[in-house]
Amino acid sequence: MRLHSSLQRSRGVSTGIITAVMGAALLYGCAESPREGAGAQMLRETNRLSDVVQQSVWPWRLDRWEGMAATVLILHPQRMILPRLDKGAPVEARLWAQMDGGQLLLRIDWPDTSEDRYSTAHTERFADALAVQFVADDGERLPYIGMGEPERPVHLWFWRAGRETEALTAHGFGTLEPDIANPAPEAVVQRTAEGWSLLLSGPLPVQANPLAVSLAVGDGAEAGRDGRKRLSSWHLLRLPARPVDQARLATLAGAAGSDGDIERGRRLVQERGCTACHRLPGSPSGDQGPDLTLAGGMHWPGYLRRSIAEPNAFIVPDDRYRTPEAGSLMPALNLPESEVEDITAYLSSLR
Amino acid sequence: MTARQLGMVIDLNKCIGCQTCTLACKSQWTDRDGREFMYWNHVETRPGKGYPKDWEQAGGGWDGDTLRPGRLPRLHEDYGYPAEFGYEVLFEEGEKPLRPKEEMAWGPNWDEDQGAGEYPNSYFFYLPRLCNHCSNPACQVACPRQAIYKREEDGIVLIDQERCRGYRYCVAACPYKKIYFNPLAGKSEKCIFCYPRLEKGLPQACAYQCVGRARHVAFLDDQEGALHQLVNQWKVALPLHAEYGTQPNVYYVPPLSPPKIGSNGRSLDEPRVPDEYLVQLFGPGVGAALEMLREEMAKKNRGEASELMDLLIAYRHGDMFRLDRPREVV
Repeated sequence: MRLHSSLQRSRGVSTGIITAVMGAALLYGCAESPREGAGAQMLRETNRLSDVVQQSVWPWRLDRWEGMAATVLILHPQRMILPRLDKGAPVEARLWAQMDGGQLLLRIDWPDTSEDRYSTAHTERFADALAVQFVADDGERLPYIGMGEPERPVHLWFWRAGRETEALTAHGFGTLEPDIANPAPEAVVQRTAEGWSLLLSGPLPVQANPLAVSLAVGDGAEAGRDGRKRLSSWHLLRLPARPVDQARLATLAGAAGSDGDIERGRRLVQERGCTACHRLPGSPSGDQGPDLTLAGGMHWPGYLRRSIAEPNAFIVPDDRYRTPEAGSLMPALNLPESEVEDITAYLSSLR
Repeated sequence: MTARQLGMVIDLNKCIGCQTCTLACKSQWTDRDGREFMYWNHVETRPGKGYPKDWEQAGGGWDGDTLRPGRLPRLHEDYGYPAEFGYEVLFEEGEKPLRPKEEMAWGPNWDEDQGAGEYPNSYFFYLPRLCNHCSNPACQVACPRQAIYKREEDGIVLIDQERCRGYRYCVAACPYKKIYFNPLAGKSEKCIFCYPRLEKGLPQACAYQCVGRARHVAFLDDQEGALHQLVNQWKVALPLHAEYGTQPNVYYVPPLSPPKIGSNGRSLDEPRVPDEYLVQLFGPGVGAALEMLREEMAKKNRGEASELMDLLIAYRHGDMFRLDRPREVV
């Protein structure tokens, strides 16, 4: 059974706790419940889960968040699909999340030294932007990080300096369109010396709990738009005052780590020929498949494991990665499970 | 390739630079809502920097089968923005002239009639430009959202305004810089080849209003049409910068020019507009095209018949436009 084997492989999860998780997986608990699942604990330790606070703080202002702990998310330059950001360092964003009644409030601070506002007096400039991506469904596997997948839509809150916010939805790269089911979020924004401090609020676009979100920022100074952005991996928000799908949480936790050997994985990507097509640290020339230099910063380890074992399970949506028969250009390698795990561990360490 | 392709031939020997086409287009499509600076159709003086300024140095188009990088023109510096005038001075005492509020440094047609060369051999000609509705459009391929499409029935290249998100990869990719970003709408826009007029059986506004009868419109596969005859049979209509690789569907009859004048004041056996310059724009077919035009003109001058001259003269305005409804699209 996939769930069981992946849990056994998860780093730092002993067999005793697995039984507890499997038990808890059958129940629905609450975020406030004292019985903290092992999966949740592991997810929190690896910064893949944080708890949303319930409090009424109307009016919603940026200065009401002092003293509350922020989650740090690292946003990596998007290099899987064209157009992409070939240069640039990762950016560290801080996320505060809380619920006020049915309203979700997200404050995001991120560094951006140049202030780029939308200007109707220019045709060549781009504005700084931020998007929050929400997984629409409550599947036991998270969809592809870049705009979801066919049949696996995402909802988005989109903000651009100097423009109205938008509610958007997508089900794959290039499918972004207005989200008629959700209102555009309210925005309160402050420009600081270091960057932007943005508060977005609106009714929860998705009812799933845990709620999977990711952040993307575009920097106007580097002509940021579309694929030219920095992107975080999926992050789970455990919402207060509503049931938590513990089974899903446990499954996601099971796919959130790898007990493979990173060093062996590093060797294997050379020996098994991965670097012939994928760009990886020390092997900069591969351009037949998606760039993997920052794979761990953007992908859930379970996604990487599945892609190595079953290249056709999901093909990154770029024509270059497909054969004319619409299959993946990547051959099925039929690697032993231990090698898949070592490569997963190595790729997950790249960020 | 689409099932059919509508195209245009512009005879540069008949263009007098009056800008009637420019205004016909502007008043129809681009006189408001963030489009004020746009000229989907314009006439520029060649040699010259053109509109937007130095568009031939702005990149775009194809390099083999990959897109060549291009840059985005700037609203004020490269396009030029319609000036605001302080009309209140007209109601004040004194002799203050009516001037733009801000000093202008560039605008469409800024270098009108400047051309090149020294008297008495200075020269210029007019080059009307619009979207080429290319058969291999770089703009379409550059758009990561598939917002640009080519109509199967006539090959017109259009931007789906619902899908466009203003990323402007198309603006950079078009080597003719004939896609414009509307900063008010936040979307890119372009010449639509007057498809709403075509669908009512009317030619494009620019072509219909041309006082010089310089523009022919027809489907390329229409053997009776001017496009097929001028492009394929007579080979006197040539694409602009074919080397950009986009397979443009607007063709130009290159301009003949009077002879150069020598130091003794006599005419030389050499045209005023250098052939090399025309070759830069219209490719290696220029020499043969001009020769053909000269021969056929000479026939007409001798009182002989010339089918080519009759076609270019366009005795009946209506004959210049063959907009028969498309054949069934497969």
